[in-house]
Amino acid sequence: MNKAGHRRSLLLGLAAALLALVAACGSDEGKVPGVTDSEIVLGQHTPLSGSYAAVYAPIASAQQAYFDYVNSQGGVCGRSIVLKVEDDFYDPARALDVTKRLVEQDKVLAIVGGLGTAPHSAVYEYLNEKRVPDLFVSSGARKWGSDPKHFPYTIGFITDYTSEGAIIGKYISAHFPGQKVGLLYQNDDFGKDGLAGLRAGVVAEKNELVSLQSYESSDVDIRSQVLNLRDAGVEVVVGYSLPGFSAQLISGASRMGWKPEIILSYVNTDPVMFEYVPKEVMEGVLATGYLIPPDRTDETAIAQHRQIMGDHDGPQPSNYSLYGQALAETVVKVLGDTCGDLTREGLLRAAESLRGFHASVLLQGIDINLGPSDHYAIQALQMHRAAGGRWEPFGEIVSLDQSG
Amino acid sequence: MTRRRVIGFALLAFFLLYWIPFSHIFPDWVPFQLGSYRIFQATTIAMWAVVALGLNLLTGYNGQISLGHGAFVAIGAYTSAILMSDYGWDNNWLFCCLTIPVGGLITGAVGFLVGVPALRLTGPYLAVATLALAMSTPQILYKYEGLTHGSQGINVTLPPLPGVVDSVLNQTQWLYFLALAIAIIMAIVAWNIVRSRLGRAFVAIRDSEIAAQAMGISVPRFKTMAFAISAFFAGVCGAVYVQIIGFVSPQSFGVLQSINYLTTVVVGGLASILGSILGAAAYVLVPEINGLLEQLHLPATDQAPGVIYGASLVLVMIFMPYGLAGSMHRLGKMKIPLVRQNLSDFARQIGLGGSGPRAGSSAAAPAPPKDAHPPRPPDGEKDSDSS
Repeated sequence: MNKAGHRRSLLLGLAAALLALVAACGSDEGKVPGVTDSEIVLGQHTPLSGSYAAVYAPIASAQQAYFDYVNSQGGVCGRSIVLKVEDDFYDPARALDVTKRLVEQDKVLAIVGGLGTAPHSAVYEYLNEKRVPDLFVSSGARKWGSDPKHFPYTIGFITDYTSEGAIIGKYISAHFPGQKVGLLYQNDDFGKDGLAGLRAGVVAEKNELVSLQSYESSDVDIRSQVLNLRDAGVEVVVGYSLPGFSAQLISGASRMGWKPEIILSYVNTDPVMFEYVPKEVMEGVLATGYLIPPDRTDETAIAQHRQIMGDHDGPQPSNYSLYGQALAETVVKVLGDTCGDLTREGLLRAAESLRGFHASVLLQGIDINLGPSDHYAIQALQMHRAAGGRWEPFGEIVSLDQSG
Repeated sequence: MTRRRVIGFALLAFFLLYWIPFSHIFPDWVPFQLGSYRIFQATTIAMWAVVALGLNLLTGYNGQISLGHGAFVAIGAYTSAILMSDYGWDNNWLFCCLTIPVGGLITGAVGFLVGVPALRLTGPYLAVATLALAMSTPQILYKYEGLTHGSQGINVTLPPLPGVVDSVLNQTQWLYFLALAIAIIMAIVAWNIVRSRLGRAFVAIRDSEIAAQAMGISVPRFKTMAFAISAFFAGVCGAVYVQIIGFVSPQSFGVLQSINYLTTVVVGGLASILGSILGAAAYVLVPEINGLLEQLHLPATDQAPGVIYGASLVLVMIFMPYGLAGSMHRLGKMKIPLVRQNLSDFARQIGLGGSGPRAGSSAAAPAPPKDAHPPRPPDGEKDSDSS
C-alpha cells in the first residue's frame, strides 16, 4: 500500500476539517449579548426546508416583515431589531445545534418564537440553563408555561391545545347536551393534547365520547375514519386535524348525506378552508379562534397588516402571517418596556409584567397577560361559525387567564 | 517515515484533545480559538460518525443497502432514554454511560432479527424493505405510549459529573470527550473488522456471492452478522444521542433521517473508515454552509435552500464518485503534473477550456493511468502491491 499517499490523504482530511471549523471569533467584552448601540439581535429556530416548511415558513417571514416595518419607523429603544432565523428541518437535534449557534456564536439577546413541540423540547432546558429568555414558543404544547419555577425563562404564546380541548368540551356540554360526541385527531402531540383536553372538558353526565378516530399526518385519505364516526352514531364531531384533513371530514360527511355538528380546532379557522370545501357545505361548521380573520379587509388591523406584508417583502396574508405579526408585535412591546434595562434579565422581567396588551391582529377582547407564575401569553378563544363563505366570530370570549 | 507518522498523530491528538475542547482557556497557544458551539458541533460529528461507520460496514463493505438505520438509532436512543428516565439510571454517571453498550447490544439483537428476513432480499428490494422499517418506527413509538411516552417524547437530565471530572470539565467538554472516545473506539473496532477474516468475508460477499460461497464462506451467516454489527453501531450512536441532545421523540427519527444516514455514507465514501467520519462532518457542517450561501441572497437560494443541497449532492456524485475520502486519497497520491492534467480534464468535462491534446501536452509528463484511477474501495485494500 502506498503509505505516503495514505498519510497525505489523512493530513488533507485534517486540514479540511480545520478549515471547516474555523470561526470568526467575536470578542466578548462583557457587554450584554445581542445588544449594540444600533441593534438588538434576536434568534429563532424554525423549519425552512422539508415538509413542515411548506406550512410554517410564512410565520418567520411575517415576523421579519413586521420587524422591518418597525425598523423603518425608527426601531425600538433607538435600535433596530435583527431577527436571525435558522433552519432546523423540524429535527430536535438540528434545533439544538442552531440554537447553540445563535446563543454561543451569534450571541443573541433572546430566542423568540422557537417553533414546534418536538424541536423546542430539545432546546428549552438548555436555554433555561444558560439563562437565555425563551419568549413566545410557537407551539400549543402545555409544558412551556406549566412549570415557571423550573423553567423561568420559557414563555408560551398561543392557547395550549389541552385548554382549547377543554373549552370545546365545555361548549359541547352547554350547547349540545345528550348528544354523542366523536373525535377525529392527528396522531401526534397536537391531537393527543386536544383529546386529553376534550375528555376533561366534556361533562360526563351530559355527553358521551363514543368514537375516537386517529389519522397520521402522512395519510392521504381519511374516509374510513369518517365512516367509523358515522357508524358509531356520532352527532357532534370534534376535529383536532389540520385544514386538509378537516376539509376531507366536512366534505366526506356531506357526501354521505351525514350532517353532524362539526367543531374544529383553531388551526382551521382560516379562509383557506373555503378554498378546500364549497361554502354551502361549510355553512354552519364551528371552530375556535383568536385572530381576526385575514379576509376582513374592512378591519383597520387587517388592512394595515396587508400593507406591511406588501411593503416589507412579507408572505401572502393568511392565519400564519397574522400569527407571525401578533408574535412580533408582542416582542416589540416587551422590548420597548425593556429600554431602561436592556439585558436578558430585564427582558424577562418586562415580559412577566405584561398586562392587558392587545396585539392589533387579535380579536377584540383578547388580551395578553403574563406574570411570574403565569407563562401562557394568549389564553382566550372565541367561537366562530362558517357563514356565507367566511368565518364569523360569535358569542362570548372564553378566557382561562389566571393572572388577569 | 515513522517520525513523520508520529508528528502526524501528535498533530491529530493536539487538534482533538486540546484545540477543540480547551482552546478558549489558553487562547495564545493556537492561532485561533474555537468557541463552545464548535465543541458541540465536533461532538455531534463524533456521534454521527458512529452510525456512519456501522452503515458503511453494511452498505460499503457488505453491499447491503439500508434505508432503515434511523430505526436502529431510535431503538438505541429509546433504550437509553427509558433506562435513564424510568429506571433511574440517570442518578449516576456510571449507569448513564452504561446505557451506551446496553443500547448498542439491544439494537444489535434487533438488527440480527431484521437481518434474517433481509437475507432473501437484495438491491432495491432490500432498500424498500428497510425503508418500511424506517417508516413504521415513528408509528410504533406513538403506539406503545406506556413504554415510549408517545408523542410527548422523553426529556433526559444528565447527572452531575463525578467530582474530579467536574473540576476540570464542563458539561459540553465532558460530552465532547465521551463522544470522541466512543467514536475512536468504534472506529478502531470497524478498522479491525475490515482487516480481519470477517471483513474480508463481507467484501467477498459484496463482490460476488457465488464466488464467496465457492470459497467456503457462509453467506447467510455473514450477511446477518453484518446487519447485527451495523445495528450495534447505530444503537451506540442512539444512546450517545440521548446524552448529547437530551431529548427523544418519534419525530427525531423520521424517514428523512434514515435517508440522510445513507447520503452521509455515500458522500463521505463507501467502504472507507475515513469516509464515514468525513461524511458525518459534512452532514453537520453543510447546513451551515447553506446558511452562509443564503446570506448572499442569490435568486434561487432564498426560495429553496434544498436546491443547493440537492445540487451539491449531484455534483459530488459526478466529480467524486468515491466520495470525499476517495477524492482525498486521489489528491494525496497526485503528483503536480497530474493535478494539472486533472484540472484540465475537469475543465473539459464541464465544457470550458481547450481540447484534450493541448491540455495533455502542457503537462510535463504523462502520468501512469493506474494512479489517476485508484481501484474501487479507497481503503487501500487492493493497492497493497504498490508499497
